[in-house]
Amino acid sequence: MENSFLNLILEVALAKAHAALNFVDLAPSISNLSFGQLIAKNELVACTVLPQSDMWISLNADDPLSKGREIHRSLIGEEAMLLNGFPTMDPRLEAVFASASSTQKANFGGNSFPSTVIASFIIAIYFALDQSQVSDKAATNTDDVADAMHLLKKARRAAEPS
Amino acid sequence: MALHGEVGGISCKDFAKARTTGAKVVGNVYLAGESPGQSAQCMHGFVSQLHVTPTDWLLLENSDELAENDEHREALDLFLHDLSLQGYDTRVFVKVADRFVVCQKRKRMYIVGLLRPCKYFHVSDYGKFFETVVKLVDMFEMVGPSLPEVMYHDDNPRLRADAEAKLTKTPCMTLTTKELNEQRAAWKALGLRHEHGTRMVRDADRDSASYQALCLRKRTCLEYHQHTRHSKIKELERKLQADEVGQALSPEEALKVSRDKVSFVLVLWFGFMVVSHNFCFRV
Repeated sequence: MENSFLNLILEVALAKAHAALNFVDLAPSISNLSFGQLIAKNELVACTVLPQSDMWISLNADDPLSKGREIHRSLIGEEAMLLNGFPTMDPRLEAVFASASSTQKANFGGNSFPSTVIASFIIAIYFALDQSQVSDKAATNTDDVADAMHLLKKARRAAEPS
Repeated sequence: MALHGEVGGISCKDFAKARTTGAKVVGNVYLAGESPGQSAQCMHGFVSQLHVTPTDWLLLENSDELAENDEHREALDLFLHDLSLQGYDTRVFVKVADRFVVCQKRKRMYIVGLLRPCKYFHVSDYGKFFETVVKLVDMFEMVGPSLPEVMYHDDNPRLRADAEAKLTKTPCMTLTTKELNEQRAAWKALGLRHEHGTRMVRDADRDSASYQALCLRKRTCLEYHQHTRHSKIKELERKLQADEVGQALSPEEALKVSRDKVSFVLVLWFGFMVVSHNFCFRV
């Protein structure tokens, strides 16, 4: 049991080392390079992509985390956007991508919000707010309240015995 | 129906770990009023804008350093105080994007604010609002696809166009004195001498067209990174194999493994002591 426990620790360390080898940001200084990491189920994820980042992907088909893919190149701007959850391959956005330069796309990819996190927050906020009572008119003055009070007084007067 | 809310981001250049501005504000960035990375100006501008056109809810994003680094925490507290003066209840969240189906470890801070009282929405219990938001956001957490699954394939036309554009530029093939000194120091820490081009581990990387577009500094960084990571992988594989086959480790390795085990037990014991102490203290 002791051996299997040690094996498990070594296997996790090995998977982490592979993740670091597979993905690295070459923009910072040599002593401060940031690299790929692991999430649950030994899945490879990228480190934080910044606008000035130059990410290098190094995946051999026989690497444990490569899922059979062979990639040896830099990350492009559109993929940086993809890593933030933007649907870059959506045909409706083709014109937008065609008009932007590679640097602009890389800047956007590095600066943008992770879209899924923002969407989660927005959905949560709207669920937490009481939708049934929403009004398109802002309560900017007390006219409605004054009208209601006037009607109430009128009704009360009518109900009083003369 | 209008949204009656606002989603925004404030410049994080003064707070981020990888700061892109050379100058640094000493002390509280928010109190400084102006900062080289424009963070202070953005925060004050945002508060002023809310004063003129308040929305029922707001969602702001910034670097996690603002919430988790003690150096910047005071700036965040003052910012939240100013938001409360504008009538907002706020809650700070720190979330990592890889928990939300995105394959990037992007840790960020989010501020959710709710105007009290709301202008358009009816909120029956303001106290429960944030409780519900916390629960719902946690429910959205799930693990998504991994990096190899989302990367473009080699036949993608956009990828090809980008590669062709990169190859038209001539990369810089010299190192500055500062870069050279950094390289030398890094290799020296490994007990090795810096010799460019001799320790690149992966041939497929070196042969790729994209590698030809890299400048010398980036090539040497990649070389160093691959050398260190590859050495570590080899060492771990050897240990794992030795452990699985039941081969005897060398005396130094056996000592290291036993040290690891002892330190692990100590950590467990310490954790148990802390938990039990807290439990006894509460009781």
